[in-house]
Order: sequence, then structure tokens, then C-alpha cells
Amino acid sequence: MKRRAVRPKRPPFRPTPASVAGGGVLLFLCLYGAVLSFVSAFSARTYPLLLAGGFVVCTAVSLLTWSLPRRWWTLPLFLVSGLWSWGLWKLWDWLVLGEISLRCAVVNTFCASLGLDGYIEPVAQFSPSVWAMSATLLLLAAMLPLSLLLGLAILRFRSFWLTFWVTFPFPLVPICISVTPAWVPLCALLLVWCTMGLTALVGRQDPRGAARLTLAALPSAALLLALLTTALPQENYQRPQWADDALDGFNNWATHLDIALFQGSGPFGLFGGGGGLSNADGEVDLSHAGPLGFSGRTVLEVETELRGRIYLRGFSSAVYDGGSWGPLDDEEYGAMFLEEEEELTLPDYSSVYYFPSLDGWQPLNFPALANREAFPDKDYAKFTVRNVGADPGYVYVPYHILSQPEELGGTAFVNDVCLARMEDVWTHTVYIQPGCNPLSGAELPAEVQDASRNYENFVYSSYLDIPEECLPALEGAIAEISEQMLSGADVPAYQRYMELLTTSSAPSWQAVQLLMADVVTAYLEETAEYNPDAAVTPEGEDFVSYFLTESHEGYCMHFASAAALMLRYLGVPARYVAGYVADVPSSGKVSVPDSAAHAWVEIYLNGYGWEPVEVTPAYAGGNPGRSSTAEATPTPTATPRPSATAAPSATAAPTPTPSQAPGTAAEEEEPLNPRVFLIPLLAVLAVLAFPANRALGRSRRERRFRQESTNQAVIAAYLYLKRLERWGGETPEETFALAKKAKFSPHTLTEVERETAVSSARAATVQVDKSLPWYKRLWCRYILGLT
Amino acid sequence: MLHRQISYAALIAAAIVFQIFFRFYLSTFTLVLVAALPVLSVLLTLPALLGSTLRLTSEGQISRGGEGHFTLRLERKNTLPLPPVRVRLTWSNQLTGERGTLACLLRSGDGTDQLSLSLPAPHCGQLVCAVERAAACDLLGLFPLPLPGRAGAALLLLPLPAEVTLPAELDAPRTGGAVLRPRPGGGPGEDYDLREYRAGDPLRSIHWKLSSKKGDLVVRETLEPRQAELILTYDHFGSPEELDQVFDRLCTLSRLLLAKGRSHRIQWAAPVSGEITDREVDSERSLMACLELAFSLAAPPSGRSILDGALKMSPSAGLPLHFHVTARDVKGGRK
Repeated sequence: MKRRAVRPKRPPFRPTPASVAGGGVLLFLCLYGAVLSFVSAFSARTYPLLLAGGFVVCTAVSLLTWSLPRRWWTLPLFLVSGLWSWGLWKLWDWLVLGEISLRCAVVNTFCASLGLDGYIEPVAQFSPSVWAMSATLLLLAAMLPLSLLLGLAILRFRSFWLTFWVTFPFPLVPICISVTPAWVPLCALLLVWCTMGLTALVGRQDPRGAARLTLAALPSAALLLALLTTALPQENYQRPQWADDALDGFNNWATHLDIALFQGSGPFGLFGGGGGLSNADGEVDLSHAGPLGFSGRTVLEVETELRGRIYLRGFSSAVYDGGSWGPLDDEEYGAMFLEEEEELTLPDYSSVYYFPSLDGWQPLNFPALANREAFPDKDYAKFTVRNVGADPGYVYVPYHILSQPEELGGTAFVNDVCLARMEDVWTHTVYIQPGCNPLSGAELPAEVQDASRNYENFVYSSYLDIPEECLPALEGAIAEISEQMLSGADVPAYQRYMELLTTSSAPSWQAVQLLMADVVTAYLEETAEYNPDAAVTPEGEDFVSYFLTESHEGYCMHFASAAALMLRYLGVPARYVAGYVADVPSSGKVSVPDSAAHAWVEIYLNGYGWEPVEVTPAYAGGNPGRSSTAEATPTPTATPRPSATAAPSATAAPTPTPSQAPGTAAEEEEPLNPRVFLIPLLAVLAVLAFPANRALGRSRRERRFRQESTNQAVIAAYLYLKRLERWGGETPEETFALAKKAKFSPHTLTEVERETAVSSARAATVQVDKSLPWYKRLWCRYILGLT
Repeated sequence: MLHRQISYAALIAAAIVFQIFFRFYLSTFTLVLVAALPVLSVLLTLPALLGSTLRLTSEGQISRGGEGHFTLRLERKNTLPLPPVRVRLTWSNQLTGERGTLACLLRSGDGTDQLSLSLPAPHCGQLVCAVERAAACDLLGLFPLPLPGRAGAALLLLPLPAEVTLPAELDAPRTGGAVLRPRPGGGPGEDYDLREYRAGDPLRSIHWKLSSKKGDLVVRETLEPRQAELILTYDHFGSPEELDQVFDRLCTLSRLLLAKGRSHRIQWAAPVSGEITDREVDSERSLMACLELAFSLAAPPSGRSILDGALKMSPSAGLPLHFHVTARDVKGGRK
């Protein structure tokens, strides 16, 4: 079977009222949406009325140009480009100012959105109206070529994709930095895209029908946008939960993928795998601790029998160097955490003290062991945590771990610092002894006493160090506390401490240490302000000294660092701890977001072990060392949540740009003025456009004469001769007869007949070219491309 | 349509990714807009779709061995453009059982809203072509939307002329195939028959001389020559080639008889039930009607012959002349 489509030759494009009206509206909306999306997103100061006038004029120019037949394009394009070049020449100074104005707006929006430290402002001092006018003029200058390009895409090519890719970058760039352009221009662009998308399919086969459809689709799409805007009010916008969950999932997947590929035993892993421990360096960089920023993703998934607020300990750091916290060297631990066989091969230590083995006991177990000894029948609590996005080096667990080193699976104690995660193990379960209290009088079992004493020696040897650089600040702070105490300041912690000193009975050293921690916490709360947007500590400044003496503002990293050093100054062994704070609901399951990251302090209490202390005011009332299995109402999370992981810092200090006012004496210093080459370049291009147009016309003509179908070639030659007739050309009778034969006869013309017709056309070209006066000849040659 | 569906799926995926990674209102709005676009597309397509109909026409009849031509045309009642219409056609020769399908695309606006279809016609029969499914996609090219109504057309594939000699009984210039029958009302005539008197016979018809000899009344009945009823039969089964031969002969014979002014009957038996179909042929038009009926009935490779049963005859017509047409010859004569 066969089928034969009757496909007549596609009629040439001729603008109809519908196509002009529809194309004009689309073009106007495109210009309006693209330019105002840019202007509104970057908060550029402009004159809206002037811009509106520019939209109308540019739309009209583009519409007029592209509605003309192809052979008439050259003239309006030449006129427009000439006017445009002349405008550039005359308004160059204004345009330079406009570029500065827009550049400042763009750069500052980027900085504000990304939190970068790169704000700029113009050096030249002009009134805001001058800047606004210059920016408006620059936009108008850019609008003209943009309108011609869009007009070509919409009116002639009817190309959705070309229109889309020309206009899409205008809203895309601000969206990439989380800045939404103004709603109306954005809707204008959406309207254009929807309309052109709806008419693209029929546009190719039926341009006139597509023009009619455009007029029907435009109001329909506008109605749809209006309905959606009404149905989804921006004021009540709530992001869908599934999107948040998906984002969390993606972040976690990316984290795991990164770890799987680039760490451990992954294909690009730099460290050994095969059941080893993850990298857990215990480092905290304080020098880049600037304003906090969170994504809200889930980092830990917890299931436990504990209830209420619990502190999930990640790691502790012992060594402060003014800009960071870090761990102790392994050598400083002596043989405390070595196995017996390892102890025998110990090298000669250079340290003064040698700390013998703890016989397998772990200091992080001490409080739980003591409490278990005192209350053997008390129920312990199961705690399961899954790391889905937190630092993969650590296992985050609550205080008072009952599980001892040999009972742990998938994790291992790293000295007295942390629990390190075993490769490829992401879920861990440990057992907790809830309700431990350093003042309960519980004592460690006898077999642990020796280890406790040995470790105590180590603690007093290693956790009291203070760098000399911050001693003055600490001295000042302690002196201030003393003065306030002596002056009877109305601070409960001070008063309790004074009462303790004046009481007749000798208080326990543990109680004194805890009270000292309360005093330090109270002092920091009195003198410093919690600020999650605290700026980065200036380079060269000691982190704690700057916080105590200069800024007096910060978040948990500042408070914990300062408190740890102040306590050390007071003789209380203390260290910095990083982890998360989780509020466990009655279900016992909770997803811990990255915004729950926190830092606090641990102090060592003799005979008890490490006791966490909350020193950050925003977390006042929290008791890191207490955890309970009782059903409790979760403590409301303090807002905003501080974190130990800080976002990149930014300073708001504007940086001057090298630009300067036009017409100043420093103009010669500019390396290269674009005007010098841009205008001549445009002029050369304009001049070259004429011969290019002629060559294009000739090439197109020859292609038609040489096409495969001899009949079509003869018809093309005849039509060309008919065009030449207006300029004095003559059509030979023979060519006319051949054209009739080609058109109406079923026969295929021979090559000889083709050559006859084409030769007559060429001869007529030469004859017309010679016979015309010079101005008509130029017109025919370079404007019409006819000869 | 597939690539447009894939593109739309990619657009939906991009909108979902945008929703996930962009935390502000625009992402949700974009996702809802992308999801609502197909609805708008369908709504805008409906006016053009409901104002469009498909029309299928044929040449009516051709001789077998050539090509059957059908024309499929998309007729529009409004000016809104319609996306390409995808049409699926089925065709079949109802006599031989040959069938096939054909898919084509019609576009309004660019001149391809009309399609000429050429189907093979090697055998006799009735070629029926029908639009099985016609659907235009929506403006986004995502969903097929059916065009209302169904179109169909039939084309008779007529037999070719065959070399058939008219039987001698029928070819005589005056009395070919004629028999003598009593003339109603009597009257003078060269041929007559004698019979017993029946009440009501006119007295002048009594053959007095013979009656006196026999002693009983004998009536002389005037006879006149009358043509016998002519029945052409064939077997409505066999291979398409055999049937072509049969119909070639049958049709040629029928036309020869019509040319001689002999009306006749064409009879055949249903191949399965044996039920006889009887058609009076007294003109070219009635011959075409007979062929149309015969060609619309399926002819299996084998079946019951009409010779196995009795012919349908007029009770008052006397003995008919019966000719049975086969692929090779024409048999029969007066029974």
C-alpha cells in the first residue's frame, strides 16, 4: 500500500494582524519580564517610567523591523544600529556610570545572599538620581539589541527554545543565589514561556493558525497564572515537608557518597579501610568562626529510652592555641590506653611524667560505673544512634556510658577523647546509666580506683594548660569576678559561692568545682551577649581574649572556649566538647538537625570523672549531665540554635571599587577604554554588512539556480527576471516559455533548458547593473542584494 | 509524541529538583504551574478538536488488478489550529478476506490535511477502508485526544472481461432458448396444442373435427414461443484466483445476456449454510447491485456448492435454462 500526502509549497511568511498583535505582546512581555527580573532581583535603582517607555519603543522597533520582508531588513537594521552607535557615543559617560551602578548592585546582592565579604560601593560621589538615571540608560541601551534578538526569535523563527534561552538567564542568575525577582516580571516571563510552549507544536505547520492560537493562549495562560497566584498565596507559603525530607535525604546521601568514595576503603580513599576507625582528629577551628548558617538537614537519627533534652557528645579537645582547639598528642597519654603487649614496646618517653595503663578502664565510663556500684538495681537505658549526615569520624552518644570498651560494637574509644566510628558502620547502640550525679556520693568500684587515681594525675597534668597570650584577659575576667563578689553583686551564683566560702563546714572539692563552673557561667552571661551572627575574630587576635575583652558577643564556641580557659585558670581541669543537643519526645525517636550542633565544657571532678557544664546563655537551664528515662516534656529549643560548625564569614565593610567619576584627570590612567575600539568596531561591522548582504543575496540566488530540480531552478530564474523588470530588466520570451513549461508541464526540464534560463537571468543582471544610475545601482547591489 | 512526553517528564523532574533545592515560594509555584500546564493545553485543544471531522471517500468501483484509491480529508469548522492528527486505518477485501492496516498523519494548516491512499486490488471483491482510530495530540503533544466520529468508504473491485461464448441455446437469433407456451386469450397461430375441454373454454377453440372422431371435446390451444427463465449459478467459495475467473466469466456472460435483452437470475449458495441467494439481473445497475452483494460476502476456500441443492425457480415459469459458471467454463442448458 502507498500513501501520498498532498503537500503544497509552504507559503512565504507574511505578517497578519494576529501575528503582529500576538508577537508584539509576547515581545513586550519578554522585555518587561527579563529586564525587570534583573532589576528587581539585584535591587538596581532605576526610573521605571523610562524603562517602560523603552519597552514600548524597543518592541515597536523590533516588531516593525522583523515584520518587513527579508529583503527590507537591511535598511532598518542599519538605521537602528547607526542610531544605537550614535547613542552609545553620546551617552558613553552615563553608560560607564550605569555599569558601575549595576555592578555594585549585582556584587552587593551576591555578597548579601552568599554571605561573602566583598561589598562594594562607587567611589564617585553622585546623587542617587544620577546613579538611577545612568543605570536606566545602560539598561535601555542593552534593551535595543535584546529586543531585536527576541523579535527575531518570536516573530520570524517562532522558536520557543531560542526565546527561552535568551530570557532564562535573567531570572536564573538571581535564583541561583536564592534571590527571587519581583513577582510580576517573573510572571510575565512565565506567561511568555507558557504561551510559546503551547503554540510551538502547531507553529511549525500553521504559522497563521499559531498566531490566532497565541491570542487565545495568552489570556488563558494569564488566567492560569492569576488563579495559581490566588490559590497559593505567598504570605502563607509553607514549604512542603516532602521537599525538606528529600533535601535531607540528598544531603545525607551526598555525605555518605563522599565518605564512601573519598575516605576509608572507597575507590579514592586516602586512608586505610577494612574495619579501621574513621578519621577523628578532634580539631576545632575557631579562627573562621563567623555567622552561623544551617541547611536544616538531618544529621543524626536517635532512638532511645531516654527522654527530654540530652547532650550527644562528639569529642573533646584539650589543647587551646589561640585559634583552635585540638587533641593531646598520643605520647602524652603514656601507657594509659595501651594494651599490655603494646606497653612493653613503649619507646623512651621524653615527657616528665609517665602514666601507667588504666588496665582497660575508660574514664568516660567512670560516672556510670560509680552510679552502677551505688545503685546496682537501677535500670539502664538503651541508646541507638544512626549517623546520616554528621561528622563521620565520631559516634555521638549521651553522657554516662555504661558500655565498656570490650562491649562496644562498630566503635571504639579513642583515648579519653571520643568514640570513633568503625568503617562502614553507621548505626551504633550503647547503654547508658541514667541519673548519675557527682554529688550523690556514689563511689567507683574498688577495682577501678587505681585507674581513676592514675587518670586523675594525668588530668591535672594535661587539662590545666593556658596559653600565655590569653592570660591577661583571663586575669582581668577573674579579677572582675572577684570585685563583683566582694561588692555583693546580685548574682545568685556569686552569692552561693560566697556562702560556700563562709560556711563553717568544709565543702567537698567537687561541690566547689561545680560552683566555680556556675560562677564562670554567670560571669559570661553577665558580660557577653549571645549572638549567632558574631563576626569572625580578626586575624592575629586571640579568640578567647578578643571575646572577653573586645567583642563580648558570640555563640557556643566562644562561650565554651572562654569558660574552659577560665576554669583552668581557677584550677579546675576543663576541656572543650563538641556535639549535638537533642530533645527526645515521648516516642523516643528524634531526627537531629544540623542546627542542633553545640559546644560546651567538661570539668573533671575527682573520684567521679568528667562532668559536662552548659555555659552558653541561650541554653541556660540545660543540664548536660542529667538524662532520664522518665516521660518528660521536651525542653523547648532555644532560638536561635548555635553550632560548632560555622558558615564562611563575611564582613559588611564595603570595599571601594577602582572606578572613578568621568572626566577626571585620572582618565589617562585607565588601561583601555572600551569606547576606543567598540565604536570603530561597530562602524566597521556596519560597513561590512553591505557587501555581506550583497554576497548573501548572490549566494542564495546561485543556490536556487543550481538546485536539484531543473524545473524549480528555471522558475527561480524567471522570478528573478521578473524582479529585475522593475529596474529595467527584460524577460526573454524563451525563458518565459520555459518557466511555463516548468510550472505546468509534467515533463522535467533538461539541463540545457536550465542553462538557457539561468544564462538569461545572469545576462539581465549585468545589463540592469550597467544601465542603472549610480545611486540606484548601490541600492540594488547593497541594500536589496539584487545585482 | 514520545519525545515530547520525555521532555515534559524532564521538565517535571526539573521542577521537582527546583522545589527540593530552592526553598522559596517560586519553586512550589513553578511545580504547580508545570503540573497544570497539560490541563490548559487540553482545554485549548478542545475547540479545534471538536470542530474537526474526518471524511474518507473512494472512487466507487474499479476493475481488479489496479490500485484502489481512497482519499482521507480533515475537515475543519473553525480557524484554531489543530495539532497533527494521527490516523489508523484498516482495510479489507470482504470477499477474499485480505486485510491490512495503515497509519498516517494529517496536519491542518500546511496543506497536508488531505491524504490519498492507494491500496492493492489484485482480486475481485469489495474493498472496505475505515478509520479505526483518529487522535490529535494536545498542544503540548502529551496526550492523544480522539476525534469525534468514524469515517469509512467502500470500493468495488470489478471482474475483468473474459472470453465467454454464449451457449448455442441462447445464441439463436430468434428462438434461442425459447419454449412454446399457451397464448393467453387464444387467437390465431401456427403452433397449437390439443387438450381436453375445460369449463370456460370458448366454443370457437373446440376442435370439432377431432372431437367428433374421439367422441369427446378436444380444444385447440394456440401456442406462442416464449423465452425460458435463465439462471446463472456459481459456487461462492474457492481461492481468490479461482473466484476472479468465475466472476470474470459470470460478469461477462451476464453482460452478454443483457446485451441480447435477456434478463436472468444469478444464484449462489452460502458456502456454510447452503442457503441460496437469488438476484434478478435485468440491467447493468442490477448486475452491479448483485455483484456488490456477492462481493460483500466472504468466500472461504471451500464450501457447499449450489449444485448440491435445488435452484430457486418461479412456479409458473416452466423449465428454466440453467448455466453453472466455473473458473474454467460454463456448463449447463435446459434441464
